[in-house]
Amino acid sequence: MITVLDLAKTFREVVAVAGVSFTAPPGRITGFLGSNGAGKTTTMRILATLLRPSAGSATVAGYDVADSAEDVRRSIGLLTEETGLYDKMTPREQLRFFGSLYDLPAARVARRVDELAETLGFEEFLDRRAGTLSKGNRQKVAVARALVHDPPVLLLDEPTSGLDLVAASALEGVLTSEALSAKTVLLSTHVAEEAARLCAGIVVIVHGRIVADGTPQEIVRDTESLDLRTALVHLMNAEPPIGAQL
Amino acid sequence: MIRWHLVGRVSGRHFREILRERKTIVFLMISPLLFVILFMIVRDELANQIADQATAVHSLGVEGSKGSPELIAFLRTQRFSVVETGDVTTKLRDGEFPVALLIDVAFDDHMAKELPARVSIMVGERSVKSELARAHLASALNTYSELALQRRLQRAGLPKDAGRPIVVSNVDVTTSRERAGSMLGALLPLIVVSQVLGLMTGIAGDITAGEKDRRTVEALLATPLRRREIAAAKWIVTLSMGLLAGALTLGGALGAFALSGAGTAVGSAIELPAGGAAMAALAIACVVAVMSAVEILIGLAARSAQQASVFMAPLIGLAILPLILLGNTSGSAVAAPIYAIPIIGPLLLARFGMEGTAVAGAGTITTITSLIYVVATLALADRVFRSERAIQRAVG
Repeated sequence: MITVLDLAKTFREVVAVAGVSFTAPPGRITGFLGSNGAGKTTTMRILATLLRPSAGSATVAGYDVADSAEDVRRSIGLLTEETGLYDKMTPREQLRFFGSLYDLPAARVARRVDELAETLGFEEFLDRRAGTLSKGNRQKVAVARALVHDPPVLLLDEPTSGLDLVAASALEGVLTSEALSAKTVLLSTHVAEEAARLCAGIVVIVHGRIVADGTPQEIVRDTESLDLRTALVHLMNAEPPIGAQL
Repeated sequence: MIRWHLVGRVSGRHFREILRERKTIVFLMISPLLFVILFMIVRDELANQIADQATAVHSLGVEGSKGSPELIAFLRTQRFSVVETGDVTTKLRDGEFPVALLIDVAFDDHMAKELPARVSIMVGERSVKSELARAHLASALNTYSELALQRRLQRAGLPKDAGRPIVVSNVDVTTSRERAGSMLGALLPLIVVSQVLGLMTGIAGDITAGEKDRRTVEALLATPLRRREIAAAKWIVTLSMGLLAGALTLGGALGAFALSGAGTAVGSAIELPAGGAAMAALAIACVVAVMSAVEILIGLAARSAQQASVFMAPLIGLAILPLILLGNTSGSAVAAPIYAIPIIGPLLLARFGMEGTAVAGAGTITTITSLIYVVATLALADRVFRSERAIQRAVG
């Protein structure tokens, strides 16, 4: 479960997030949508305890991001915009390394690595150095890294970016399966169709503010749009920047 | 609290990546080998220099020798291989001789008339060989001049030493071994420390600011690891690689000294003072410990590897500058508190330890103060790494 209440973040004079509130319950995928620079990544980084909130609060898996950062980090799997793989190490070595940081038994991590490689389709690259992998395969390994310790909460920033149709479809299957096993999945994406397919709930952030929060159907209905894509375009164009409101 | 088993896992991962980097392996293995060869050459050169003081023969070009056979004969007795020739200026420039003598055409005539007979010492290059030959020639001509003066005084019925009211002798009580130790003490720490710091700077910059550039640190920051555990792991890696490079380079250099020229007359002329090598090893370990902590601090605070290298690179120069500036200062002239200055203290210990002139307790002062600097610097690095600015830099 993720609960965000009046969360704000400013970088000197720049307001990145301006008092957002939403919840992402377990057992479903919550889409986190918005245009570039809307505040999605900053919010995700606060939830991952990489940044501290300027105001407001947030809890992840029951832990406060400000007061129990280490417990939060133990409970999350984070996929960032950059794959951030170690080029000189193989996917197997990297996944085992990250698994070991959660004090999991080596045999369990090894089994989990094999499972994820098979599910995400990078078994044949498991023992090849990451520096030689294509962008899509690197993305698969980065997704596996977020899942390797089987965390109750997943924070995924553009997980299908760079994946071909088959791989993206396989990943969507994995995410649905993770959600069905009572995990909380917060999925940041630009792709309306992907959100419509996967997400039971959608939070739309524009210029650091939440402008819509509901099911895809509710958002389409409330904006009197034909589909989610049109609804999102309408919402993103309607909201003026924070500076314009001051 | 630090969970050392997690620190070990992070360090292990770094080691694995570093040791897969070809340039690091080349630097670690090939470079000390080159130093071994270099030190073998240097050692032989030193030994030869010591031996040369008694046996070297300098090639000497002489122009205008026709009217001065007595002077030429004298110079041949003073370890000069005399080549009587013309146009010494061109030949000096061509490197045919390290030094030349231009004799006034009226040399013998002037000598006979007891007038000043003019000669010019000429050099065509600035080299150690040329300078040694020039100094030796000047000394020989002074001796010849004194002999001529004695003869003139005797002819005038005066005692031959009448023109020399004071007789000065230079007496050096140091042994050739001590002189060699002093020369090595000035050279070896400079080379070893430059080598080690060069490697450490690259590694520290790469595993701190370099990871920010590559965005690999973001995933690590999202794990249960604490910032201080990550910083500690990176310091351990830098420290270990520095110590390894130091051990290989110093060991190789000392091994080269021990092996080259062993059992020969000149070889036995060079020997480090007892405990000098151990003192140098301790000092280099102290330098590596403090510098690795400083470099980790800079790397964690820097925005990028490039920015880190801008701040790290001058550290090497700053560290070794005092060694160069101190020149021929003896260790006994350096007060004990100087050994407490970070980086500089250990480097002075390395030099004076090898010379055998370090003051009593210098090793203890250097070790204790270096440990204090390491702890203080790592505490500051932890503070910097926990600040949001450092994290922002890491995650963009």
